[in-house]
Amino acid sequence: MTDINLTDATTVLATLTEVIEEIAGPRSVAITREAAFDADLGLDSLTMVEIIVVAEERFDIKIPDSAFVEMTTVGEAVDFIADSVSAARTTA
Amino acid sequence: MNGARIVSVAAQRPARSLSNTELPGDLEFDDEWIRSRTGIITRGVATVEENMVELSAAAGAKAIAAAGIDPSTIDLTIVATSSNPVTTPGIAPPLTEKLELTSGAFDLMGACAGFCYGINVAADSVRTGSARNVLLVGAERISDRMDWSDRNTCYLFGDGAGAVIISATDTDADGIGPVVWGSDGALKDYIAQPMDSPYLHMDGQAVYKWAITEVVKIAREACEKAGIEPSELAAFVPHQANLRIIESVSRSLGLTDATVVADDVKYAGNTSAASIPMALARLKDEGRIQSGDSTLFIGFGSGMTWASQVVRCP
Repeated sequence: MTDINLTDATTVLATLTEVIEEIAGPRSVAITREAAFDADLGLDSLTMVEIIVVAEERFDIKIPDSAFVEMTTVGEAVDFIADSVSAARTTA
Repeated sequence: MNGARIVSVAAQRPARSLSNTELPGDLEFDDEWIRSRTGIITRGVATVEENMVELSAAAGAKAIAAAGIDPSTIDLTIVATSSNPVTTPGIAPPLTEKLELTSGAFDLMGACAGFCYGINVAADSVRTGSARNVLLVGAERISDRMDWSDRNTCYLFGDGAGAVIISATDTDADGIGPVVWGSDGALKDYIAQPMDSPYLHMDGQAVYKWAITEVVKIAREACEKAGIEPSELAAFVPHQANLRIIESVSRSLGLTDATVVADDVKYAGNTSAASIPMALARLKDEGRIQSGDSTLFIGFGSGMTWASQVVRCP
């Protein structure tokens, strides 16, 4: 995981898409930045918790509950994750 | 030193079982919404007559009969519960009166982990010779502390009791594996009844996240201590909090169809300290597990507290 550029938004989107499909199975609509977790992808709150737990492990970051509840679209999550990974590397 | 084993299990379920659309209170719930988030289809809600002692005694009497032991050889009675409506006496003393026992009797308040704490206390009591047989009951009337106007929690819980007899073995062969237990008191507010409230409050999302992250680690440690791979388990009987947690932990443990996974939560809801013996009793009654099967217990809940062990099925 450390040899790929996880701060790149495209790579984060691809990895997050893998996580979503791993947890919730293939989605009937494309997982794009604009897709809403609930309305478009049909992911309920408990599924989102599972996705966050796996995403934290996959990206080696912490996603606080306060940030998590504000993420309504895939793009918002991608940006948060990219920023967190970048910040973690800067302070490492 | 003697070994210890579970020789019988039995459950007492309230006569009244309510579906997701029959809950008390004014809230309306969609059956499919509850099922998809929790797996719960029905839960037992006890009547006034089905009080803690009655539920415990019914389960206990069945467990004693199934064990085929002389009740006078029960030297200790433990009731794991967080539902006692009074601070004293505990449920255990009137339970012994009801069952005509004269054993030591005390309650164990370990919330949803209480039964697994009780298993270890009971097992150590028979190993050291403090008791020949122990009656361990998990019993709850969560409905007494349920706010039926709380949309986040009121559909989750149920009432009931489960009981086991734990006996000394003639040899040092042990049917109850080493315990893994612990607590994280910093999370004490996740599931709590505040001083100023008659009701149970729960941060469901935080508990869910904690459970799917931590329970698998605890379960793996209990298996490691027992010298068994999770994939070798015949049965997995975790605290019946939510079917989604059970399924997530089962997946993370790498369990296959070869391991029977308890699913009593579908019919009983979350019965806290009673959930593991009730779930085990269902598996026995339905013939889905056999005597001697390696079975992983894991209790977890308010505190947060947890306890887990691998046992031989009665």
